[in-house]
Amino acid sequence: MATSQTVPAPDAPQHGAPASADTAVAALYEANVLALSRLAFLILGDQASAEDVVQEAFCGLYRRWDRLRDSTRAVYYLRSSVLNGCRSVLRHRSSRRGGALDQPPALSAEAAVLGSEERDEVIRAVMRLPHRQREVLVLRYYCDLPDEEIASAMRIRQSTVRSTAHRALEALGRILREAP
Amino acid sequence: MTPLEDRVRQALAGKAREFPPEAVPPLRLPARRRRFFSLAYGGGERKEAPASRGGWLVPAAAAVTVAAVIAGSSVVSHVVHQPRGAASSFDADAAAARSHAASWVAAQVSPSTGVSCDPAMCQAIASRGFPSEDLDRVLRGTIYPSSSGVIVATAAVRREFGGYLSSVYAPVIIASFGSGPARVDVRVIAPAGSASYKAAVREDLQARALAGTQLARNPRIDASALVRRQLRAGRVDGRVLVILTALAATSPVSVLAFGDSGPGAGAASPLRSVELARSGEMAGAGHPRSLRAMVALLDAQLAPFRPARIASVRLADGRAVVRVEFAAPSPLGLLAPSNHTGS
Repeated sequence: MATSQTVPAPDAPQHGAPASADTAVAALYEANVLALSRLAFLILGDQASAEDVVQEAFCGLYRRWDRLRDSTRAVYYLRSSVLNGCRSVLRHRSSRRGGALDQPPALSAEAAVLGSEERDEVIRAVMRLPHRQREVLVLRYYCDLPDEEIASAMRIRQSTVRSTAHRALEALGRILREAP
Repeated sequence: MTPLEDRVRQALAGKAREFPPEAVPPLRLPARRRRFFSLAYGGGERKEAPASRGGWLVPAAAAVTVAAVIAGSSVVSHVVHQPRGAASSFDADAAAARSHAASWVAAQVSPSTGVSCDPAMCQAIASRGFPSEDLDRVLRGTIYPSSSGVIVATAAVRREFGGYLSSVYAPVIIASFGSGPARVDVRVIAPAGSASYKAAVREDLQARALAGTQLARNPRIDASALVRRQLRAGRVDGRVLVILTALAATSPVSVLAFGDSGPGAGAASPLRSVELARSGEMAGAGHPRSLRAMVALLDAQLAPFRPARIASVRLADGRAVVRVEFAAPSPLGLLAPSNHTGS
């Protein structure tokens, strides 16, 4: 399914044909919820938090629909909201753990049986990266976004995206080499 | 693309598929969206151009209004000649609920938690000694009360956030005052959403029940059947369990009662206070000294295990006991394995 891989596809209502907030947001939800949920899931590592963050992003969009100047930008707004929501959850987790780094999520029994060791090893390594590096990797290699859109979604400069991705890959290579 | 980048791409795609399409929940939009209706604009939103085909609404609404005024005049007349009991009773109930809620928040909620409230309620709480810098005023258009740990849900706050307040933002009530529209609830804000918060509450309950069961079996803790049942059921706040463990390690302790989960709070709200006495030999002649030692130990604790209040009181039967009370809301995850390992 294309939308599960490419969040940026602007499946927003056509500009110039104003829809009610209810129908427009429902249509956006239908088209993008899975991709956005998976984006949040990859960053947060658990399904319940990912669902909450995505629901909150859609509710935020719904509340601000009247103030949205360009409805075709709704998907970009949603993606930024999801990233912000993820950061908020990660901050909260860190504070609850007294500033400890995120621990790699425990794999479900099902995932342990079905998932390959290779994949799990890489995912564990990704989850050990700092939040910002993890975000860049997910946006670049899961969402296939160009650096320009990653920069816009994360509200950082393109050069920062490139350097963060470079550092993330370096750290990832190091972690994977050290893994038993 | 390098081999490492390829591995990352494949791993992320594979992991993402663990979130299956059928796991996506239905869209839950707020029950009410703020709109600016105006009859002058044909019933449409004020921001939009007046709808020409909706122009019939103006005369129709005017006619309905006139008819309603005429038809209702006898009712109005009846009402004005009635005693003003109903309205004044509602106002009195609302004022009493607000006053009790403000007093409870000022006395029970830890200022470090941060409290969201409507401006009038914030003023009432501040007037009872709660630091005003820890109060976050909910004004019209507030998007999300995320900066606080607790929200005081008055009618004005419920209007602002609609059904989303209880379903997503703040699902758990820790105290409730009054009833009907005058009701004031004190709710804990779920910063990561309702599902995560409820999962954390469940985990915390399990951890408290596990620790409580061990304490109920501890031979150095003397307790009634009710107290032991509350311990085993996980009803007792994690901070109380920790201090009980510490006190029992120094000498035998008698747990007389747990209390104060907040008026109107659900069973999910832990019991945050405890009445303690020394038991066994320590309850004899050395009693006052041993109580002072108990108070000193409690007083030496640091947050989050430092009680909000410690008081030595004498019961009706003459026994001297120490009453210990922790601030609301009860923190979650204190007894989680990750906290024991120090991670």
